[in-house]
Amino acid sequence: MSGISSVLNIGRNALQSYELAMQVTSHNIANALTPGYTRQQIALESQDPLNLAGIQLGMGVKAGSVGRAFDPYTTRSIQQNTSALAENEAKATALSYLETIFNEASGQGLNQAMTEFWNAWQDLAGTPGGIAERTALLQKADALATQFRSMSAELNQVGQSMNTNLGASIRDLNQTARQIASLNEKIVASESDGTAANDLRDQRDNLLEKLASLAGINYYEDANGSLAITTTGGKMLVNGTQSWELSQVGEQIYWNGIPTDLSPELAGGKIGGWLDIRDEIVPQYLANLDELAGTFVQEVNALHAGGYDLSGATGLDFFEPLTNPVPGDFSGAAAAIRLSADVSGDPTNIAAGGLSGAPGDNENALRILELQTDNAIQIRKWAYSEGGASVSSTLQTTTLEDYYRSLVGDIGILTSGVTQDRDFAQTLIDRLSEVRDSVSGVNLDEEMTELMKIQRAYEAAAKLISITDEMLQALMQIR
Amino acid sequence: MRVSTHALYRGIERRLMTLADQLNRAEEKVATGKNMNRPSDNPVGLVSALGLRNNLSRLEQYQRNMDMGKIWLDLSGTAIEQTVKVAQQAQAIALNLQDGTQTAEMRTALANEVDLLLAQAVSLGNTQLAGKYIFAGYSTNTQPFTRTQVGGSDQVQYNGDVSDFRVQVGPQESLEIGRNGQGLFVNSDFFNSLIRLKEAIENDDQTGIQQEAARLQGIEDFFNAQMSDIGIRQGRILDKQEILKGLKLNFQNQIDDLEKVDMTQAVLEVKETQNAYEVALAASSKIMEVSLLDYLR
Repeated sequence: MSGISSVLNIGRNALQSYELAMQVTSHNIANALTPGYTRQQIALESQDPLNLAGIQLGMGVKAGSVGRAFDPYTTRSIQQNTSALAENEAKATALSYLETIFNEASGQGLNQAMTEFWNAWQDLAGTPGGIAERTALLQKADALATQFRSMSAELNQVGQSMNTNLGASIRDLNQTARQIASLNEKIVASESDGTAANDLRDQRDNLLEKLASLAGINYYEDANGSLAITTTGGKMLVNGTQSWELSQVGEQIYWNGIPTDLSPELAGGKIGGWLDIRDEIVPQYLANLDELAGTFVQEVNALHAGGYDLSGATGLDFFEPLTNPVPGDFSGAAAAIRLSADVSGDPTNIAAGGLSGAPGDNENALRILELQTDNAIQIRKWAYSEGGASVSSTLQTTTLEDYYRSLVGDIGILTSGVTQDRDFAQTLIDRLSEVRDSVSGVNLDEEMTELMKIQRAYEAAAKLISITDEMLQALMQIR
Repeated sequence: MRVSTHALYRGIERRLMTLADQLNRAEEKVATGKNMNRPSDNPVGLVSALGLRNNLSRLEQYQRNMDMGKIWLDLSGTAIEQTVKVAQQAQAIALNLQDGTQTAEMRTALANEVDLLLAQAVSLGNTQLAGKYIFAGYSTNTQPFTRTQVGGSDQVQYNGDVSDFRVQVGPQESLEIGRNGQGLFVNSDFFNSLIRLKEAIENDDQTGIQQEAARLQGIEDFFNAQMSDIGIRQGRILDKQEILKGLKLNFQNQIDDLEKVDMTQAVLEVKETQNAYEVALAASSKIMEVSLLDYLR
């Protein structure tokens, strides 16, 4: 076919193609702010030419395909770093709370309570027979014990709240995995004839990013366009149209209902971060706090029992002795530390005396005071790793105060480290997003220009038809 | 590089947020006057500051202990000084009696005077500080010396113990601030010497009087030695307090260096960040105003 009718046809094809291009551009404009949206581009191509008696004639335009301006490499980098960012964000949030439990910057806290405890012993050493000094010491000692107990309770509380967070995240993860599985099905179906499922893929990439922010994952896309996802530990989450669920049972996390605790092998993402807090950081600080409280009880009691109270009695406890059956096992000490029944009701039972308990006898008070600056105290420092599966301790020779100060320093260093990691991951993702957006993002000015370009081309094509029409009329008018 | 519209807005948002966070932290420093508001602000600095604060608190406690020690030593010194005077008076009486010319009436009067001196000495031995006997060893609530009559003759009994009261004046360092009555009054035989002198005067026993005069000289020397010992310990406290004062100032300065904000700098920082924030806001609003749409009709 050639001639006027062919020109008309070219005009019609051009109009149709430009309408399609207009639709793609308007779709881009409409989704300019949609998170994860990938700019779409229409590929216009010329129609197959017509060979006519040695002449090749162009037959106009056609819309080839609508593709995504997709940058697979950067997108994969973003998804991988999303896990790290989400993990560090989750940890940083929990740590900023843990930090307030150990916050000595304000001048309140355990350090202060310990100092006041020792100062009260000093006052008692100055006036060993004084009931006021004895009562004051009991108050300070009780304040110290209360401080230990409330820190222990707050640490436990943080651990508990991690469980609540985990529950919500696991539900989120299951739902996301289900949605990805159903998108897999739709994408495979719609791409089976070679059409790119642009928007469905955008949706799935979004969900994949969300999944990565929940837990560390590995994934690959098969030849049909279906996505298979496993946890970093290798447990299948999505394969084809099928998805597997995680479930939380008490402190444990099961995969597909199989009662084996998965928590040690879940890493990355919010879930990994919260598990780290729950299984490593909180237990570690709790163990170290217990160690300090237990050593406190043990050392003070050992000296106190060797002294004499005002009535000359000896062998009395100052703090309630620990009930752990294994000697040197201080677990739970920070939660249990309290004044012993010996002294709590009766300040005269404090064994300040080292000889007889005479009202001027302060020898035992002086001995107990030596504890404050005794730098030969043997005390263990615990380290939890591998999701709490590996617990080790090193024996430190230090003063009680220095030991506690090192705990405060540790949590400060840990928090600032995690905050830095978080900021680094955030910066990295910001940079990567800029790179991805430079390829995939919608620029409204660009789309406006595109719109004008299409409009003009459309007008020209319409003009083509009207001119052809005039030509046809000219033909019709021939008689 | 292509910049998408969304990225443009997100970039503006992110940079404004960073500046707002900086502004917030700078203002926190000014408001609290502290460099470190949480352990992670400066973990190493906080650990040092905590250690310094502990040291400072201990120093203050040692100073209070030494203040108390000073009071004990001052009072002991005064009591012993008085004791020396009592011994001197008794010795003077003994020396006066050595020529043997005194009448019986005069001897009775002098014996009574020695009796009074004994009472005075016993009461010095029972010196109290805030209701506590300072020469009773640890038995601070028990009157250390009681005077009794056994078989018509005087006796002074010691009821205290043989411990010396100490306070802590440094890490692993304590100082004796009390002296027990056994070491001070009983072992020196002061009371018995006075009792024997009184009896010798009553009996006109010249040899006895001479013996006690010589003994009393020895006792005076002993108490004078005790005085200088107290003086040495008072001096030690003064020296130590002087050192502690210096240390305290030093620690306080170090703590301030670590914790206290340099206000000029902090306020400048707030001002700078504020300016940067305002400029960023102004620039952002300009960028957000611009669009190709404004130029199309």
